[in-house]
Amino acid sequence: MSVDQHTLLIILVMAVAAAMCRFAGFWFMRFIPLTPRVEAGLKAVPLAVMIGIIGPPVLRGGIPELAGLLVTITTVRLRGNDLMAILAGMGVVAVARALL
Amino acid sequence: MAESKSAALPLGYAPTRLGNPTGVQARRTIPAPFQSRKWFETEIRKKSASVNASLPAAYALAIHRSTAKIICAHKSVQPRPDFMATPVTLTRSGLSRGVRFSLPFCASSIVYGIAFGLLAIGAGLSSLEALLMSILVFSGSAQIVVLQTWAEHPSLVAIFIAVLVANVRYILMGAALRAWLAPLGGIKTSLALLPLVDGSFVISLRERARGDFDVGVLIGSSLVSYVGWVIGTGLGMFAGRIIANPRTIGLDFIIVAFCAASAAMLLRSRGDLWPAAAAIAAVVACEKFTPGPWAIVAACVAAAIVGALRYKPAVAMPSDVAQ
Repeated sequence: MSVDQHTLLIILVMAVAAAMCRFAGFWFMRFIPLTPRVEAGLKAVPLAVMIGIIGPPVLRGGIPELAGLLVTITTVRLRGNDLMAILAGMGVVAVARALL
Repeated sequence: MAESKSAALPLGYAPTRLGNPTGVQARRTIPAPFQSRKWFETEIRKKSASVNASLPAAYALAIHRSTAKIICAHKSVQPRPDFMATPVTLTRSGLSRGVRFSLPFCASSIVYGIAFGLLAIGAGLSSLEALLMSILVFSGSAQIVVLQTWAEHPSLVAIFIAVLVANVRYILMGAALRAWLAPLGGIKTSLALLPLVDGSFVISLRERARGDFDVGVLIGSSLVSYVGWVIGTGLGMFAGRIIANPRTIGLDFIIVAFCAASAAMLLRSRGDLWPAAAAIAAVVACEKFTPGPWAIVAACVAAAIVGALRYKPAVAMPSDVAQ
């Protein structure tokens, strides 16, 4: 349980960068009128964030990751329970990795 | 109206290049009370009362705002570009609603935190360092991106850029929140923006669509995610010391599964499919050419462009707004 000084510096730099991002858009929109078209573009962002996080591990992985992804999506669409879907996806990945 | 030739034009009459010699009222006029900022604000609020109901009205408001801005400049009235479209409140009951709505997300953020904790153990961070990072940074994707390059001892500048890139989506979210939060003032707005996360952003927008304009919903649900994230990090550090190889039981897949489940829930209408397809294409292209932290940004930019291009106004703009 100790904090390295360099690590602390890294953490502070990260904290500043993250806070900057959270404030920047709000501040920047002072100068851009929020038209419905701009809003329609911004609306598409949350889903894209998810896809951006899903993409690389699945593309780099093999059959287990792909199967896990399919099972997760199917479960959440059928049952509407995201925790159950996550556990199901994880289970499929674990089993597939053990078998393959 | 003979005097109208002089410099002091009666208000309500627009000057032309000839100084409005006829005295005929021009089509676009400057209403006299526009001099008063208070009147302007009440007018904006009146105009925007219906904005929540329909998109055309929102469009009308945008046009109204820009004309008003020009008129204000003409009258040397200081315009505020961020007039609020709706009454905004920040109440305790809103906060508790936010906490209640986001409790299902809390489990996810704990799970996500556990995944980060496991990764931090693998990267060789001490428990205190990992907890401190989660408390101060509170940005899952950024923290994971940095930890993935941890072994290569990246420079501070590289880390700074990586965090910015991983968090570009917050810039877009903050932009989307401006119209709602601006009238609250600096401190309350900071309180709402600082712990902003994907889940609370989605929850608060959903509630806003249902007519709940309390910023407490946003802050409350952000705080639940924050607490869950820090607790999850601690649990992950703890679990990481017990479980030898988290990969074998699929723990590294939690993040992917969490995002897939959220995405599947977010995908509501057919209109969402096009930006999603663009995002997928961007991720595949990014992975092929420059594997790394750019996938999220590429996906966001591609989806935002497609989303904006595919936007169609429901009806033509109402022409009476400028009058």
